Amino acid sequence: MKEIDVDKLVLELVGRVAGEIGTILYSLQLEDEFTDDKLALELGIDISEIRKALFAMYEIGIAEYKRKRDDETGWMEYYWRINYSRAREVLKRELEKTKKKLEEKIDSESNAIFYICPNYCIKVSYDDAIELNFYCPKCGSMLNYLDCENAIRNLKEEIKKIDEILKTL
Amino acid sequence: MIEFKDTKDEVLRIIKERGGVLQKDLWKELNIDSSKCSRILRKLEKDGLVKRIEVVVDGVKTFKIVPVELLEGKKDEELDLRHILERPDASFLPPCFACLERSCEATSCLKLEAWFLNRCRSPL
Repeated sequence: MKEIDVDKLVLELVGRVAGEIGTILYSLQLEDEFTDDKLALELGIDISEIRKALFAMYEIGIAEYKRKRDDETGWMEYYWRINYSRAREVLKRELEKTKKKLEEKIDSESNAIFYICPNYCIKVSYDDAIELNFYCPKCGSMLNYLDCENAIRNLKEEIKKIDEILKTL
Repeated sequence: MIEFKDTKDEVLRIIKERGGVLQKDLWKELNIDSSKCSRILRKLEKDGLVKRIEVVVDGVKTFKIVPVELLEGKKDEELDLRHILERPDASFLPPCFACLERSCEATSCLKLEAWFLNRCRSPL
């Protein structure tokens, strides 16, 4: 198996949560506290975009903030810090959560037979498909048996991959 | 300093600006007591402006407050499975990775379903 690049995975995590701007902010390696308005000015990015990304990073546990009132203007200022030291911990938590979801998905898909509309209108259990005479109620197409054997094997492989990564964290 | 703005407006502004916020963060941040915050949020929900979704954070129950327009937009996007199916996967990890929907169920999540169906279509 290829060596797992933890930093790359962390970047993917940040990107998924906080988009491209989140990835940029995280990559800046901002060790010190900063205010979002100053950063917005320096980077030439809209402050609301920066805040949105930072709050998403806060929600997943990769950024933190304090609010202080500016003595001159009386406005509230947000002082941010990116928690690089927590990144591995957050990554671990997310991978464990993902693994659990995949296991639940495998469970629910293995324990039943499903039929699917070729136009992806609906996916129904075998019993429901009988009720519908094997026709899609939305588009009228004939429902097909959903062969998910490959997908389930694929999911099990992915769980193995996640386990491999978790071992290194 | 005199604050002209109504607390309710401020609450709504924060929720909209961030696209969602945890109730426990909201009252602490606005420096108001939790019952006042809860009252305001109930009013906003009654007015159809926000939705309160029960979530568990670090073992404690709280609400995630989401602006209604975001939920509606999301619903439309998620309902169209075909649209999601067309998006290529960025990596081997499913959409559950780094997903902020804390109350989501693996068995009923449409994003995970689309990701799964993509794997049913293409063999290993």
